[in-house]
Amino acid sequence: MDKRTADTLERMRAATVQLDRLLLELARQGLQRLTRASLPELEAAAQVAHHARLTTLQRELLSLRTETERFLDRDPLFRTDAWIDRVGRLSLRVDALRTRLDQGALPDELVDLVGTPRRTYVAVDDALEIHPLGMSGWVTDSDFVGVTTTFYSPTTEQLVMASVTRPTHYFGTDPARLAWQSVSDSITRSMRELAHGAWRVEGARVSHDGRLSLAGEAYVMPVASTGARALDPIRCDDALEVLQRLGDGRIDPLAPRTPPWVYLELAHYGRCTFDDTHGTATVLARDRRGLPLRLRVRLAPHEQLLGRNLERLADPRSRPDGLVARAFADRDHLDLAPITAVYHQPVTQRVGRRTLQSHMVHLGLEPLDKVER
Amino acid sequence: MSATTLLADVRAALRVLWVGGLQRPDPTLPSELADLAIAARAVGLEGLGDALTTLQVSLGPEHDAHERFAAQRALWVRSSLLAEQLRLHLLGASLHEEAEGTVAEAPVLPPGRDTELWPLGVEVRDGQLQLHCLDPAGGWVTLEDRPLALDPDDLANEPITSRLFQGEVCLGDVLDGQIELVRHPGVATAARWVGGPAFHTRPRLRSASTASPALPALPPGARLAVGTGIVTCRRGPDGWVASSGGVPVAVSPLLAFDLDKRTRLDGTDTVRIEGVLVARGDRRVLLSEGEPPAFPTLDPATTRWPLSGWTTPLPADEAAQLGAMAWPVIGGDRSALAAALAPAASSADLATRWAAQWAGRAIGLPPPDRNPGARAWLGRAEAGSADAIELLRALWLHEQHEPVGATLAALLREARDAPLDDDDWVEIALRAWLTMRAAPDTAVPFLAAHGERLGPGRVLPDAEGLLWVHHAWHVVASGKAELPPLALPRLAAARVALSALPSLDGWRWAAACDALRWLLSPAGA
Repeated sequence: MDKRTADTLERMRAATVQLDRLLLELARQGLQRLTRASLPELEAAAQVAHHARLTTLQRELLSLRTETERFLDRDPLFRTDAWIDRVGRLSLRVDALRTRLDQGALPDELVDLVGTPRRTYVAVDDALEIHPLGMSGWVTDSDFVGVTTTFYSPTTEQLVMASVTRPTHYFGTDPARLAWQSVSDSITRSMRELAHGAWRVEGARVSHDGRLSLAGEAYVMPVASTGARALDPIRCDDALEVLQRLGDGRIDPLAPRTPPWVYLELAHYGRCTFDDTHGTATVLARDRRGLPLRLRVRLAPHEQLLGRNLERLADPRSRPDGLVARAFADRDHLDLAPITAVYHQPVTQRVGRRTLQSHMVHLGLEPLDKVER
Repeated sequence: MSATTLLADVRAALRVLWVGGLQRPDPTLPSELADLAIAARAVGLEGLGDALTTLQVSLGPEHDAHERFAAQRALWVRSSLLAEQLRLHLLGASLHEEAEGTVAEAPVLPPGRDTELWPLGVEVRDGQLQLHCLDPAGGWVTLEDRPLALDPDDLANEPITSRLFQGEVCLGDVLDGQIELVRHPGVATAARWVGGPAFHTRPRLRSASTASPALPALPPGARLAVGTGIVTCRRGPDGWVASSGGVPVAVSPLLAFDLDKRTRLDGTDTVRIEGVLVARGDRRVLLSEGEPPAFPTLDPATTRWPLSGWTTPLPADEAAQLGAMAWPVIGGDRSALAAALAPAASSADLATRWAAQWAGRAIGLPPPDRNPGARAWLGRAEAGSADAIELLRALWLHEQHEPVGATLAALLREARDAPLDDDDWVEIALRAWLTMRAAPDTAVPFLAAHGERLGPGRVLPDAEGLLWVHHAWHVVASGKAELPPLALPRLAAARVALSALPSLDGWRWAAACDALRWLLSPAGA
């Protein structure tokens, strides 16, 4: 073991001791005895976690600091339950870290538990076969615009994501245009092409959280699409199966709370309603068993097309046979955030002067009013 | 007390604990926790009850903050997970309550056809494949495919990336078996049923288990039909011309290659084929021939000869060379072949030595001990101006042991500065080889420029010329990776070899361009 790794492990162990002490002290005092002196203690603990390369712990400590400050400021947004949950997850994570360190884990083996300061990509030995599930655009507060396509890889049996990103100062704020740009210097295909085909990627590199790097020596070759079989890993027969998937993802309190991807063939799309207060558009849909679900999208400035497409889901000319979406459970509703409309027969999309045939329409970036069944 | 209320009360107790702190917990908490533990056990949540009891006990004065922290955390984990599961369960129950039974608009599962098919053959049209089949009633079915990639020179044996089958398949395997359709979409016309690549289903391949329905003869004058017929092929000045019942039959390059092979030995100009045809307007397309069916329009190895038919009239040493070159394809007694080649491989005559060693590589025959004959020959003053073939052979023999030195190669190259005829491929190969040894950086552009003239549709050199160009390419590419590959269509290369038979030049080129397996049948076949 080299000195750097040994030092990192030592700092990690020291951090677990310090964090245990901090959390215990918070619990001993209780909320009503917390003072502003606790805030720099939490910041200092976050620094310790940072230097020990415990990125997830660092972020959670900073979040706990923010929540604690809300309490001290008597902010009406403060929620005791949420504060208790944060402390509980921190404590569980520190315990899990200690256990893995005692078992001899090295820093690189702890990335799933404690994150990493900078995402690293590991080369995949075999060619990676990927089939698209959905493509969506986004704009960040830090002035970046991007397009991300999520794929299912039967090679690794996991979801992987590829993104193209540009600064808004240079490219503007329309992700739809970015979908037509080359993915990288070595891959001249656009993200739109990747999102409408099946590919084999040679020289791929993947991070621990499923980010696919297509830079460097990676190149892609088309392979035969497996059609509906590509959706089998996320296929749900009905709303109850969607609920089951949501439940499966919540057994481990330390697992990231990412909404699961699902594919569902809905029987009925209702009328679209807009809520200006909450900035959402909603369609009440039903699956084949008549169980209700809500298709809900936010009406952020770069997601206006998604709202317009939601209105057209019920239109017989563009009504999809199925939807790829991410599932959420609200208090009384099962919500789906639709991403891709899937058609069993290929539909024609008019794009400028071109017409393209595809089985998928990515609702955030491709208008349904240009689609003909 | 319902589970929802119980869990809410547990959360409330945790809030009280955390607000007051573990050092001085609220004095009413232990009794409250005890009551909640009883309530938890009453609703069957034994684990939750135990966690509540553990926390209650830990709040006693004899326990410290560490124990209390661990106990409250265990309770928090259990109650949180239970609450989440309960929430999802209640959500599911409420969904059921709001369900409206089977929805009238529920989409019907995609329509399609379920059937078994017996393949008749494949027609290639503009990069699209049409797989013609029969259904159990003898009806004509066509499955269309637009593969992502296919090898036009060997459709039967090289895998294609098929959109129809949603993966890689070998057409030879498809044609050998049966096909099962499950809910496959398609269109029924008056003449046939046509399907294509589908999203939610794909044809499944099965081994042939039952006899196919009978196929009637192709009706005279039919413009869109499939059936049996007789095709008469005649060799004309512009190549092969075929017809069936007075209607032209398309002769593809693969079919022409097969006809050339059939008539190679007997020299006839007419071939009669009984097979399955598809009628398309004013022309017909041959799908298969005979029973069991062969596919000369897809498989370049449809017609092959036994090796004995070619070695018999040859002298013993040449027969041994041919046997050695064919050994990777058809096998044989490797030791006997090596023994037969060994004397010639050590001959003082460079031409004999070269021919034996060239063939011997195919059976792994090592070059004999270094013979200074080739080196001495190259060192002669007149070597540079010698016949290109002789010089190439000497170079080849020398380089079985070590590359020719840059100085010698430069001298030889200098001696060959006469204007180059663009059609003199042997000279081109020689100069490329010498340039590679004398001035490697100029070899690639020299050879690449000439290589551009060897593309599809161009007039190709003879077998001997191609052989040396092929080897010169290998010499340059092994030292310079940026040399683009030789874009020589395999079928065209094989036809050059065929036209040169029975000379050993033809067999050497067939071996070099991997066409032997299209010409020779395995032993016993």
